[in-house]
Amino acid sequence: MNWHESTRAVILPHIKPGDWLTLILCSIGVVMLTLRLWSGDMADKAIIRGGGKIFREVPLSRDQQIEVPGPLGISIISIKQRKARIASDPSPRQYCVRQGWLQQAGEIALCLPNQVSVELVGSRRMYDSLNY
Amino acid sequence: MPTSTLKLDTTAEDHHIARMAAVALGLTILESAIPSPLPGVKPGLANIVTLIVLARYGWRVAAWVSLLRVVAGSLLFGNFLTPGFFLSLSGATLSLLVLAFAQHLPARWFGPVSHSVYAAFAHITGQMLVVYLWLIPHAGIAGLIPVFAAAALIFGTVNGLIAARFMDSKNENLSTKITKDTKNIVL
Repeated sequence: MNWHESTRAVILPHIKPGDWLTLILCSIGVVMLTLRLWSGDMADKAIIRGGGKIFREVPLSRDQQIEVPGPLGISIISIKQRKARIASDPSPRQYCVRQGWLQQAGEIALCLPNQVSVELVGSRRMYDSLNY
Repeated sequence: MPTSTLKLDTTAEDHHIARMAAVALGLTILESAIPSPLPGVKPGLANIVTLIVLARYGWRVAAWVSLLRVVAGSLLFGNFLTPGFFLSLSGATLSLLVLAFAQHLPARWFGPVSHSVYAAFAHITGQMLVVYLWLIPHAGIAGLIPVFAAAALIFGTVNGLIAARFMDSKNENLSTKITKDTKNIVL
């Protein structure tokens, strides 16, 4: 018996059709997980700016609320489960509040009237078309 | 004078569970001698026993064997109630939960290989949860997930195959069978 035949005789009868389905789906899952997690776009921290200067840099690992003073009043930024959003802001049109949760590195919410912004950054900086 | 001895009433099933847990324990110790490139990446040979017990005697016995193995193993290795113990406990618990559902998959299409792969993924999920929620609450550990997931897929498949191979041997002894297989594959 050569190598291939005996390996087949030992392995193949034990893999049923559903098992093949399981193996294929799980392989696809592993590949997708790898692509997603190793692509380097995980956000690590949030950079909070007020009045053009960096107000604070906070890690996303700890849930917290941060109050940032601006010319119109106080903007509240909340960080929860590795996501960040502007929870409340005195700006008239509320664009930055309605933007909702930011999760990926490179995402940014701007409250121009109150001069407050939150930007998520990962371990390496991605190019952003806004920069050009 | 009356002697007071502590006597536990044990049934034949208790003995059977204890024997199976002892086999699983043996495999755990055997496995601890295998060097691993990354802490946490282990074949999980003891799960072969869990799979066989699940298929033959049902989920309740499998849960007993698996959890006994975790507790007794931690006593043997001296890591009872340490982080390492909670890692195996969470892994084993989540595996058992998933197996409780996986065992109801239609047997015509799904065998021990599927059970084993699902249990392996549940195992690393449980462990990663403990690591993230308790030990290292940092996003950096997400970078390790692909390694653990790939290991779960590979070892889950291999363990499932071994369990299936064992169960289709009615009269043949497993060790002779494995020796024969190995010879056939190598020669």
